[in-house]
Amino acid sequence: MEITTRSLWTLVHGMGFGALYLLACSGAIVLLYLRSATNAPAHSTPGSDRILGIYLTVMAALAWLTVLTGTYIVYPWYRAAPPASAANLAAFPRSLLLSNPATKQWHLIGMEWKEHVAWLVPIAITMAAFVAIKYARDLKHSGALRSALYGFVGTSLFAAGVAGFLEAMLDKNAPVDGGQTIHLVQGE
Amino acid sequence: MSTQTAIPQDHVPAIPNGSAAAAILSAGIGSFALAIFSVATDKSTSLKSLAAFYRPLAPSPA
Repeated sequence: MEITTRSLWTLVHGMGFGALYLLACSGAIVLLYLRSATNAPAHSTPGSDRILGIYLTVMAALAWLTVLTGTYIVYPWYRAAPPASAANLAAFPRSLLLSNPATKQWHLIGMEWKEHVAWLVPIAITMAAFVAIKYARDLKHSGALRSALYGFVGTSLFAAGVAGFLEAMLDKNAPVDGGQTIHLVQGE
Repeated sequence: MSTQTAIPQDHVPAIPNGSAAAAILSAGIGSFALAIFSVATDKSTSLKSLAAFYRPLAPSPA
């Protein structure tokens, strides 16, 4: 059993930081509801105020790690230009997708989303974390602030969810692979 | 017999929200600037070359 360094970084980017962020999003929405709903059972204490701020800060860190590893580590491998004489495009995922009309749109729509729209995720969740920390005890009394937080956390969940789906489809059609091989388990 | 002054339950003092407004506005401006810059570099050749400050991530070749 083995894995290449490029596959490993793709896993760290998508299945590690990205998937963890998506899981955390649903938790953030429940936590925001419990902290702010008028009939919710949770009580506002300094401890629970701090938990919401820490939770959203960790989410912001995950979001930044996801886009930074994706942009600066995985993406250059994805978009590497093949030499003119290359017959096998397996090591050049972008060119491989564009070479086939059946897969071309995965790059044109899928990677365009991941290149641009996915960057809204860390921006939105960083703002949400700041507001949650700054107004922790006042969220329950400010509908406008709650609505803004729900809106931005929801937007980041949507943008990250679409990016995650497209990531899976891109990797299915043209996986980023190559580099050194790491042997995880030696065969008998 | 003691008397207590009832405090209306629905009376909550106004919360200063300048910091939140600034954070939300800055996130919106940042997102909008990202969108404008992405479209502009896609459409303008000169902006595309200007944005190529890190070659492996330069705007997509034709």
